[in-house]
This record gives sequence, C-alpha cells and structure tokens, in this order.
Amino acid sequence: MTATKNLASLVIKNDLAEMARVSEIVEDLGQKHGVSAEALYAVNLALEEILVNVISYGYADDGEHQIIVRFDVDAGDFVTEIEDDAKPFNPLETPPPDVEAPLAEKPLGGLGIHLTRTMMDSVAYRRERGKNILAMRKKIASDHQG
Amino acid sequence: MEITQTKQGDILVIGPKGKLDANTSKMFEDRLMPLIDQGHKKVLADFSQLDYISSAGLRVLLLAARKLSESGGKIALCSLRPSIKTVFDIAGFSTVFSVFATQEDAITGFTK
Repeated sequence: MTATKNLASLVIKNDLAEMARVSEIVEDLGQKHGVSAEALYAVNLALEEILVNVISYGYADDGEHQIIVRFDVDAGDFVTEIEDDAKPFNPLETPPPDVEAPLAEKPLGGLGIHLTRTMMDSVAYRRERGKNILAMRKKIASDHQG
Repeated sequence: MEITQTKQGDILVIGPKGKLDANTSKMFEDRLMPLIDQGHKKVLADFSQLDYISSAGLRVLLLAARKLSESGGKIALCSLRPSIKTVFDIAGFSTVFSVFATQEDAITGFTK
C-alpha cells in the first residue's frame, strides 16, 4: 500500500476517546465503497481491538503519542493499516485463548486479538523504522450473498 | 449509552442499545454489576437493540456470569443480531451462555 493510493488516513492520539473518529471514518468509507455490513462490523471490531491494545498496553510512558490509521480499497478488499510507535508487539505471535474453556476458566484476555484474526481475511505485521505496522484486509462483498 | 431495564416476573431484563465497545462497556458494567450485588438471580440481556459488541462487552458478560454463578444465579441472552452471533461463536460464548432467539423464548427457558 503506497501513500498515493490511500483513500484516507487519520492520525489519532493514544486516547480511547479517539475511537469514535475512527469508527466514523470507517462508516463513511464503507458507505462510499459499498462495503457489506458484515465486513464493516469486522473492520470496526479489528480496529477497536488493536487500537485499544496499543493505547492501553503499548506505551511505557504517560506521554502523548500519534497513531496513524490508513485506509485503502484494493483488489476487492477493504484494507486498513495501523502504524504506532508503541513497544514492539506482534499480535500474530500471541497464543490463541482457550475459547472452549468452561465459564469459570474462560480467559478474559486475548479474546480481542482472537476475534480480529478470525474475522479479518488477513492480518500482517511488520516492525519498521521503530514502528509497529499492522495491515489487515477484509473482502468488501458479503460472504453470504443473496 | 442507553440501557433499558425492566422486570418480567423475577427476571431482570437489561437491554443495552447501540454499541458495547471499549468506551461504553464500562457503563454497562456499572449498571449491571450492582443489580447482581443487590440480589437479582435471573438476568436476561436483551440484545435486540444492540448493533455491536467487542471483547470489551464480552468481558462484562463474562464477569456478570461468574458473579451470578457464585450466587446460584444465571444469565441468559436473547435476540442477537447475526454479526453479534458471529462474535459469540468465535469467542466460544455460544456454548457457555444460554442464547435464545426471542425474549419470550428466554423467559420460558428461565422458568423451566
């Protein structure tokens, strides 16, 4: 994904209140590009889960940080890319939670990343220039046609 | 977020509207948990007006279910929209929570 191809990008602060701006732009782009409701749900969820993780656990200091969220449409996919300067974290390396566990043992952690990995069609992580960059793709059309 | 609250016999019906996300789930938790502390044993979360749930919302359901099971109570859910049902399935919540198609079915299920 190159900068010139970007549909839109957004710079947010490491503040959970910024999530509203993110979902607003996702809804807006989704409408413009005919993204299915199902795909939009997945994209919104993935962005929330990843950004909440970065904002809540990614920074060792209390300072203000910038997180860049880029959006693109490519080969029938809605593409989102999150770039942050938080500590290195590859969500693809976290072990999946035991979702089969009974109620009393059900883990509270790890569900967000598990949902993200399952609901998105692809998730790719790279560490570049001291940044975490997570690229996620979701097919624009619904899986359930008709 | 708006949260409706009614009683159907001895069943507390709680209905969050809109989104249960990282920002709103705390509100849901702050509403629901004290009700359980007050002694409500049968709780029905009616999701007919809920558009979205993330892991933040799932966490509250899990906390509520654990607290209720400690006091011999139970939580059930009803009227999940397809995307929310998908989230439940992936998270493994569909197998540990009682999920009903309608509020009527859920209330019947509680009295069985």
